[in-house]
Amino acid sequence: MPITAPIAPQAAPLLPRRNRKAQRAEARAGLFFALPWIIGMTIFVALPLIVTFYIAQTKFQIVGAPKWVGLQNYEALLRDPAFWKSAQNTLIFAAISVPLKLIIALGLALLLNRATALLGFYRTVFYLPFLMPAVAGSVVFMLLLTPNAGPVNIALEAMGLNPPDWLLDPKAALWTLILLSLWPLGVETLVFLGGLQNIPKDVSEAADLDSPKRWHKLVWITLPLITPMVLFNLVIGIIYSFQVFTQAIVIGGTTGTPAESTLMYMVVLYRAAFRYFNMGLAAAMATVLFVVVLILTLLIFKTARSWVHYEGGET
Amino acid sequence: MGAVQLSGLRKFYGALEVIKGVDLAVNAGELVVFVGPSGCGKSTLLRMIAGLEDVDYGRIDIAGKDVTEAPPAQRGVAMVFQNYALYPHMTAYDNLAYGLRRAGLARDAVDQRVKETAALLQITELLPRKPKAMSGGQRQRVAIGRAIVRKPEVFLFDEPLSNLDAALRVEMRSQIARLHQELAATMIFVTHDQVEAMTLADRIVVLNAGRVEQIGTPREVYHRPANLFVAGFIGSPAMNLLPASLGAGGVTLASGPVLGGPTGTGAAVTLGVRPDRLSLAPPEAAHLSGAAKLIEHLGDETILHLHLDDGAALTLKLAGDVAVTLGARVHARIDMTGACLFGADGRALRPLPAP
Repeated sequence: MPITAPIAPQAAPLLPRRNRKAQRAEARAGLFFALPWIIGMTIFVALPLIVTFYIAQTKFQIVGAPKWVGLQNYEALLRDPAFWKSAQNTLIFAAISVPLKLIIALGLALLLNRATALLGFYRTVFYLPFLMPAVAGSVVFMLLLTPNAGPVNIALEAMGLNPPDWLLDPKAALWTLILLSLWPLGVETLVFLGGLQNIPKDVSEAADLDSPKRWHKLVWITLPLITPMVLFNLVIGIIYSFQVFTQAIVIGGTTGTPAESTLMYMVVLYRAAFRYFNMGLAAAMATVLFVVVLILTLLIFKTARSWVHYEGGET
Repeated sequence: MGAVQLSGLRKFYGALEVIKGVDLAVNAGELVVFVGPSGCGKSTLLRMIAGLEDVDYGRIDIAGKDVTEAPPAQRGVAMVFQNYALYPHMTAYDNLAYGLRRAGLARDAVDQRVKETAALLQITELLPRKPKAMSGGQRQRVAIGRAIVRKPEVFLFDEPLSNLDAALRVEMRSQIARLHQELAATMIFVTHDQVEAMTLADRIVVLNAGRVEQIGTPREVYHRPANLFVAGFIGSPAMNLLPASLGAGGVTLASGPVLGGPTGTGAAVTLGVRPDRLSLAPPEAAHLSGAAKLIEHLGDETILHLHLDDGAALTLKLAGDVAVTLGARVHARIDMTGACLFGADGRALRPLPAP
């Protein structure tokens, strides 16, 4: 007893010191593993972002050195009607296409979740459009929607309807663009499907025992349990819809024909950069877009705490 | 509380018949336990009663109503699942209240029912918690609460205790027994644990390969198994099944000794003897002899596994701590009280008097 007593206090500090050493080694190893990602992130994301913020406050035409002009580019933006028109179009586009896309993708996922035998086949079919280049897809839709010879209008006329000129009627063109944006929704559908299939079978059965109505289960059990996927699709959807470009430029060119009705924010940005070589203005537009999307995303994340449930699939 | 009547139930998965014609009447207020080995169809049968599996042939009546085609929520059943199946995004309170709210009950009535049920199960302090913040035992109590709060005609339990540790399992078992008495509820309980079956059941339904092997009280099933399957399945350690014949002097073991009892003209039978009906005996008084190949000292009793001279196995359950060394030669004597006889077809012959 008296022999062991003095040893204990000496032995005690040894262990924590070894632990601290092990912890440091582990942190170092972790850093090494993350290093490729950190380098890539710095070179391809952080640096361009900082350079963009800088160029936004310069006059820069690709050739020659950028010249510091302060906030002049932002002032020019505020006076540019194309900026306001494209911002308005983009907001309308995002406000309609994002929720519409989520609802349709969810509906498809719910249907797919019930198909068991052909699930793999359907999953592939729904994912295929995503693999097709957006330009090719847009061109196909332009052919389909051609006023007189396009199959869509021929079919609609055969049904006795009076279809619009999808691409050239200023009232219809933005809607055509929205419809077009709904086409490749394979990713959203698959994300929802993943969420649905992650709901434990017995939880779903418990809900069947609690109420015979399908919509009860959908509203109170299924939807809350896939809210993490709703959040993901919502945030990604907003980011993508604010940056809609390919379909817009294929359909409306750089002027947003007809009558600037399909003029999107990214098209104006592209025009400023590569038609007028006004890199400063384009960078200012990019900065504004970045800030707006960032604020929107942060707002969504802030509200997410009250409506997103992360407990699904745990019990 | 309602009675359950199953008539000619059959169920196929593709070409495979998993339920092969089950007829069963569960009386109102009765606790019936389905027991059987893995894959015997006991859970499938329960899920068919719940409406979670389709019925291919036959009919299910609950509380006098044909519910064969009715959706689960309109059968008057509530189910407790093995993995609790609580709604993970809801508090315990909301888990209990959910079904009542969807049924259109007024807020006050829901509140009263939830609180009554919580008090009955002593889970009041758990009501504001989500399942994530509860232990397994607490979750299962809440899951039972969710079943009780709906006041169903029939409670269905699908191996509800198998995810709990041993001590908790015993506690929950007695709680379910208490609930059964207090609520006078009709309950159907599926388990593969025969101790649960023996302790809880008013009647046990022994299932094997989609068929009912025997229906009876725990004592009937234990003391008078209807066939070799039940004899081997119920009871732990399992009943010893020894080849024998009915001779002029009574039951005669294949190895020679005559044990008395019912006589015959040499028909081959199987003698079933519970391990506790065997005792150690001096060689001259013994019926069977063999080498001890495994000895389990449980403190208050000793389980002795013998390798008999003819190669068969024999299990003895002896009171107290019996000193036997591994490999030692052991002589055993059979007490024919409560022994069972099975014919060549595996079915029980006229049972000998129960102890």
